[in-house]
Amino acid sequence: MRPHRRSRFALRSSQNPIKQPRRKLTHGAFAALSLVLAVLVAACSSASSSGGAAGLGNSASSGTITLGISVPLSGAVGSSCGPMNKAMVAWFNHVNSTGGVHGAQLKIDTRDDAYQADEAVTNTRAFAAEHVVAVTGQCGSIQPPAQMPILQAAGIPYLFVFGSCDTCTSDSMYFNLMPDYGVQLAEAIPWVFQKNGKGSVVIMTSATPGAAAITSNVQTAVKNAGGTFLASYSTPPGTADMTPFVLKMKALHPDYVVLNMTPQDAAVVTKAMTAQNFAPNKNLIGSAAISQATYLSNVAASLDPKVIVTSDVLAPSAAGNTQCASVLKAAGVPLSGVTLRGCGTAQVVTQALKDAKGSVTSSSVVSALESWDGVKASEVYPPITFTKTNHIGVSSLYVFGVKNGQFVVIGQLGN
Amino acid sequence: MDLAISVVVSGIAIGLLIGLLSFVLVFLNKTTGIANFAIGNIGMFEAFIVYELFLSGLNIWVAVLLGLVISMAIGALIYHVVMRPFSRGAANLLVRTVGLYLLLAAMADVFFGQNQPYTFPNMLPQGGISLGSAVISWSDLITVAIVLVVAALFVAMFRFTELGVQFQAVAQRAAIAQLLGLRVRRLSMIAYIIAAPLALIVALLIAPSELLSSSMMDSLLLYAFAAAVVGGFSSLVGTFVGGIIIGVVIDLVATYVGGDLSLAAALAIMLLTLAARPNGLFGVPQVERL
Repeated sequence: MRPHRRSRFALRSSQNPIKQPRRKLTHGAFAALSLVLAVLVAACSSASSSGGAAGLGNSASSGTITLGISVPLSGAVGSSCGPMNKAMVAWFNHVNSTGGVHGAQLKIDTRDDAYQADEAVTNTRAFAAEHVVAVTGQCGSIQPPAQMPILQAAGIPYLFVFGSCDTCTSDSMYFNLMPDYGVQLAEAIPWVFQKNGKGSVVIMTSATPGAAAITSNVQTAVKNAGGTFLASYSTPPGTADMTPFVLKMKALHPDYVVLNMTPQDAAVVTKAMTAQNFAPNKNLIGSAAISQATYLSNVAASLDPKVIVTSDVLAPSAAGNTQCASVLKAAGVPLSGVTLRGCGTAQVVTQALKDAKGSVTSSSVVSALESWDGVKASEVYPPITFTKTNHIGVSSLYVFGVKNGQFVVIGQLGN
Repeated sequence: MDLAISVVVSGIAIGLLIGLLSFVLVFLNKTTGIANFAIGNIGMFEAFIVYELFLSGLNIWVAVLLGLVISMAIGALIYHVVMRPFSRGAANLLVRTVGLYLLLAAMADVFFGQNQPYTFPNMLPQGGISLGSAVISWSDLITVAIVLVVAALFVAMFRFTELGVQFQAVAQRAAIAQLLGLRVRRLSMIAYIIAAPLALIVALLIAPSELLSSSMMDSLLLYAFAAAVVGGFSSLVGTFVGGIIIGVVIDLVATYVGGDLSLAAALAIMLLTLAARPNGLFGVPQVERL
């Protein structure tokens, strides 16, 4: 057997066959501990879901309407979701300070789920036990598929997640404002092709629930619009090194790169693109998921003219005169894409509570929402329509470009 | 082929960072007898302190220098508060390091985590040198330089300083070194004072490209651990070789197999190494008298 080589400055731990009292670990122990560590870290990204919750829809009591919010205030998307939550709470506080909803005060139970499905499940079970009227304010695509079975069983409406949940759309308790990210991107592609010409497309996705369906939507949209679909790449959220994916894209010379990622992952991959001197020939296309400062602040100025994203809410640059802007300012919350969305979402929730007939219960809120036909429930969202069979309320989307480091409206999709 | 070369170059760059963290892990293992699994999060926590100093209005370089000084104090504090009391039993101490790992992540979430991840200011020059279709960024080249400087400093310390000789003595025969009058606990504390700023340097090199968050070091720590095992847990130079191997493999796997399998590939290499070559590529067998 070949003798072990030793580096010039390697320290040998044992040469004398005298047993040492000093603590020493075997490699086997290290392996075991590494696996323990791996499990600990992996546990942070595991998803679990579970049904079974008590209750069949809840009601307001003692002049209080309780809403549950499970949202990532920390973790991988905390920088986007935390400000959104602050904005929602600011609007609800404003509602309370101006008399509440039909005299009832709103009680908001906000719980951090750190962008973890299991944490969101724990929070949601607590909401069910608490008999909240509705759960709202979620932000992210990992948690909704885990939360939805609990809320569906409990008859609690799940209102307006800022995220994608393609498996939730058949649930009667699931309501969302914006179309699924896949739908947004599929609508954006023909619009972009018409504007800048057909071309070849690569899509990068964060490996979140529903990502495969979104990729499929994009692939179909590209083909239907006369483009060429080159490749799709998927990365776990929080991937440390995006350079290999950038190098693969660079080798394909795509005209368009579609980013279906968390804003943080999109920021990291865009930074890697800049570091590798790579940009798509024509555009970087994203959905509402990245129409926010967390992404834009990490985009190099040279890429700004290529960025095109969809959004269901107004651009902050166009919202200066809204009531949201003044409420946020009074609350010390900076006006941005996500805070505007948070405030607007809270406005829609408030309107739904106001429209509930009789006492405010989970079922009366659902009935009220299903009766909406072109209701302008928020100044930052387009008119909203729900039916018993369609629980996606917004059918038109803004298209944003970037000018002077800010998102500006450059077009509109849908009705 | 051009793509493969580019990916290998990129893998070497990330591999050196992995190697540097692995180096810190092994250095602590050799000088204190315990590999501190919290070392990644120690660097993360210190990077948050630097960021807070920067936000308070300090120039980023001043913030970094202050951060390095603070990190030395943190290293000493961790040794005295977490590692030193009743320090008997390797399992006990290892569990402490895992506890510290979780505690630091939780504390970072509480104190700094409200709006994470944060955009960390770029400290190094942008751009780089083209090599085929790949670009070797200046930050990657500076990482290489930092790794070389750190390695050279450690070689010099071990060879030419009394402290280095004492570290070697402790690493080889802690009990005998203690009997001969070496202050082993003092040396362990110094090891932490050296390791904590190194962990900060790794975190500072990563933060600008990967954003600053409480989980920013998690995957890197696992890769560093795998690199340490591949290189041989007793070899400091092996950590860099192991880091480069892991870095190149994870990038090749991400490119040609799928990004989801990068971590699995690194752990598989680690397990295969343990099975086929238990002491790693550069490690030495540990012989004990029964």
